[in-house]
Amino acid sequence: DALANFLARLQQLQSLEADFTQVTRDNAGRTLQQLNGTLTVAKPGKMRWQTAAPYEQLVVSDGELVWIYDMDLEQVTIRNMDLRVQETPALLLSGDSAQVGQNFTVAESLQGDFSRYQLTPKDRSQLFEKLEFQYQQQQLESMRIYDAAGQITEIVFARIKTNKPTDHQAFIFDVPEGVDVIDGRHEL
Amino acid sequence: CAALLPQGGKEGQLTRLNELHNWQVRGKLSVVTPDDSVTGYLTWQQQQDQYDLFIAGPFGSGSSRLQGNRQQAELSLPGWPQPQQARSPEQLMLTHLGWNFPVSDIRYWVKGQPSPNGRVTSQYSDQGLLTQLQQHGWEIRYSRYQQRGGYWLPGLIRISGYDFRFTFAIQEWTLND
Repeated sequence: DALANFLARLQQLQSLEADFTQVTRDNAGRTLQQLNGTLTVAKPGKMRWQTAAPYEQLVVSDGELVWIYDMDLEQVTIRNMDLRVQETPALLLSGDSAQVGQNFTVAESLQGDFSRYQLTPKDRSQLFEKLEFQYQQQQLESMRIYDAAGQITEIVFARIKTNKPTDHQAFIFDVPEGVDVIDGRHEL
Repeated sequence: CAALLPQGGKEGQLTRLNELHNWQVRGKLSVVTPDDSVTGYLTWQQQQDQYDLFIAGPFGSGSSRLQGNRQQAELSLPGWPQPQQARSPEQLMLTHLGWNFPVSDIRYWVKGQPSPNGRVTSQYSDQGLLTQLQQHGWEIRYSRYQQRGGYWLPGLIRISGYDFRFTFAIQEWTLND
């Protein structure tokens, strides 16, 4: 079924490195924000998501914690990593795929060599209404995030390298000098 | 060369800032409250005593608008059929957003000058630019000053107090005086 097929794809993915372009459009199709960046993902739960100026942001996850470094604001927010992937749905790619079934209902649609997986969160309070992962044959090709206000963020990947060894330094974050830290971890 | 540095020191800077009554500022706003933190985009338009704030949430989760003047304030939030009124903007923000947000002071702080009334302690750079300010129980830190339209204006403003932290990274100033 759709969930099993999507999980099979997630389980095949040990690591991924790609460039991406991200475009956010409002419900009338007007472009609100356009940016590009690089994504590195590795199991379990590791990720590095870096966007270029003028919207410079770096998100690093070591599988336990997520650091969201906003260079404009000179601010780092630390959160626990859990599937409430509010700000960065890409975390789902390296997260514990077993939790996908608990947190989302999954639908699959096939068109030629494209297969698209639509994830609707079971917890309605999430910031986004649904997520889409689109594969071209075995390769992840793009993602779409549909948010509550009808805005659609499309992320298209390029120069994708899957299951290659990744530099684990990429998933370590040390807080730069003079930057404010917001500790958003929930007390354990 | 000298023209790139502010002229007239602290007094020169403050007198010039007092000339600015019609402006707009746009940028990214981070709000840390006692129980959450959120980042959005803020556009603030000021014409004499008339203010108009437009705050767009993260991932486009709707936008809020706060407008008014010395006599009256009005707030509209996503999903409200019509706006709410009150005497002060601070009252509206506290009641409906749970933010202790000193709108009437930030109108001055955002330019890099103390608000006109109340006790102030402040530090200035040797070029006369405000770097730190304590007023009405808040602490404000300034950085990334840039020359825009003949004025030296801050690029990053950090306001903290009463368990709240507002950080405003300014992307654009528009001066209409």
